[in-house]
Amino acid sequence: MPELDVVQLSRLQFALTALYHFLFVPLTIGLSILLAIMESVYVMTRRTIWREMTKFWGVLFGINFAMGVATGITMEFQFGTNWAYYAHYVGDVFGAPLALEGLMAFFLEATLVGLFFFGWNRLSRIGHLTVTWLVALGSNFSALWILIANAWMQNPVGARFNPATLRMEITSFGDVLFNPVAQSKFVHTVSAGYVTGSMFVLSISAWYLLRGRHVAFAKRSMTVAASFGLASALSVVVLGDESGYTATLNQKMKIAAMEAMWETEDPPASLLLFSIPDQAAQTNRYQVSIPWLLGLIATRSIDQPVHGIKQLVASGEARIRNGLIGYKLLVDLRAHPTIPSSAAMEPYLHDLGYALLLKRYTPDILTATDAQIHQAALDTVPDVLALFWSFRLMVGCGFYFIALFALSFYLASRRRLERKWFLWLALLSLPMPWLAAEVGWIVAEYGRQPWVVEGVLPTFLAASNVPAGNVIFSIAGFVLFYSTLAIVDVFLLVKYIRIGPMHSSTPSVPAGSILAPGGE
Amino acid sequence: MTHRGRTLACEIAAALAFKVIALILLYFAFFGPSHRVDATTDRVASNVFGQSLVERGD
Repeated sequence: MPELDVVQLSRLQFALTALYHFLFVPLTIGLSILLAIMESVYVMTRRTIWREMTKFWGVLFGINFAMGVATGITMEFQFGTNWAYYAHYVGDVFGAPLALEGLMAFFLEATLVGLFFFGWNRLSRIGHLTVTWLVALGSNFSALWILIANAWMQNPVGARFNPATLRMEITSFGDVLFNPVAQSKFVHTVSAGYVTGSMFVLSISAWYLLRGRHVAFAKRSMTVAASFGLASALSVVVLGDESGYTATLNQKMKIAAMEAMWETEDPPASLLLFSIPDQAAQTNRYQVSIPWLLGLIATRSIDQPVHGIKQLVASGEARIRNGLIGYKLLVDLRAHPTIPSSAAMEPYLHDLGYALLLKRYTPDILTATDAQIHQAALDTVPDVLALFWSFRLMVGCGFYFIALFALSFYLASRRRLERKWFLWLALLSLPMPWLAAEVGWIVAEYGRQPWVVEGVLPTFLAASNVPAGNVIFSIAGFVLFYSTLAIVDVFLLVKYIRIGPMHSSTPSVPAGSILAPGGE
Repeated sequence: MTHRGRTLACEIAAALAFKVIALILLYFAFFGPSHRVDATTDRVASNVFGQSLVERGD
């Protein structure tokens, strides 16, 4: 078992690379769809302003795509080095969607993005539009396969443990593919990407209007961003609710921690608006709650309970004891390979991961004391304070996006987009979708702790025994690499935003004429 | 291709070249085959499950 500081360092390294990678991803996903929408309007109306919009926002998409592409590959480096036991234990399941992502989605996107940029004068209008939609589909499908892999870590369906190979093996690829967590996570994540793309277009266009540059272009871009952004912001909240509902079914501890719910309340449970959770004392300080709301949202009923942390710890203890029986069966199976594994063993082997939590306290887990079992059960509780506030920050951002895009939509429809306070608000809101996405990932992944695969493999057992110094150096390398990429990305984006649309000879139009026919 | 298009293409090509070189350096410095942990069934038995599975194992 690796030293805990190496585990923490490996976790930090993976978290940093994932969070850096996700700075690029949502903008690529969001802008790709916006480009497809803009070009569709161009093909339908033949107004060249829509073509110029597609080209200009396409340049910014291209910069972000070029800077972001392959930044996720560093996470795959780490599977072999820092997470070798994870790769061995679940690689048969986890590897398939990762490979499909590379083969089906990434190549589709990467191949066609060249046609998007260089095919304007070589392809027919319909041909180029098809390419643009395929680039958008490729971006979205990339996210789909990655999220199928990630969802399996949250809800490991369609696989069983093979005592002979000590690996998880796929029993139903369909179950892995149609994992309800994957479906809800996918639509929630891509909607968040659409919000990011819309906010980007809205904010940059607001900056043009504040500077009095490219006015017709900016207003038209803002109108598209406002309408698509409003639909996306509404979707992201509704689909986030679905994501939370699936977590209520599969990751009860994560939900309880996100809500700082220490005790099981009589249904329907109340929702805490504000609190300072105290994990050591297993209580909340200064809480403000809304009766019924959590029960209605989390269970979609008035008679189903939302289980509290203390009750879930008690059920964790029971699962550890169950898992110890499974562990004993596994020892016997390994000692006498001729014994056939039977269906009767399955419930015990199913809880094997819980028994492995004891490895932190004793090398021979079969001799674990009651105190050690209780301590291991307490380890199933993630960091409540961090989850509670990360979740509220994400949700707060979600509702802010709805309000901002609804306001933008209203102002666009009333032809009043040029109000200065609104333009400043839109401009200053630019970083918020990234903030929401990053804290969203913190909720999803930090909330899964102590598991690397929920209920199957504890994180501290999945990490490799590598020297801590190596991990510190590689973290430093990654920080330097990603920071440079982020700086270059921002530098190039700012440079081409300052230059503006290629054919910005589009005449400036008086405020209020945004919806009038335009173009060159 | 316009002058701006050529400039952009050059800048993106330079950034991509930097990225490829940095990724290759990172890979060989920290993640190449020599750094990889060989996770065989026996090593998993030892590291994840404990000696009891190895000693009495097949």
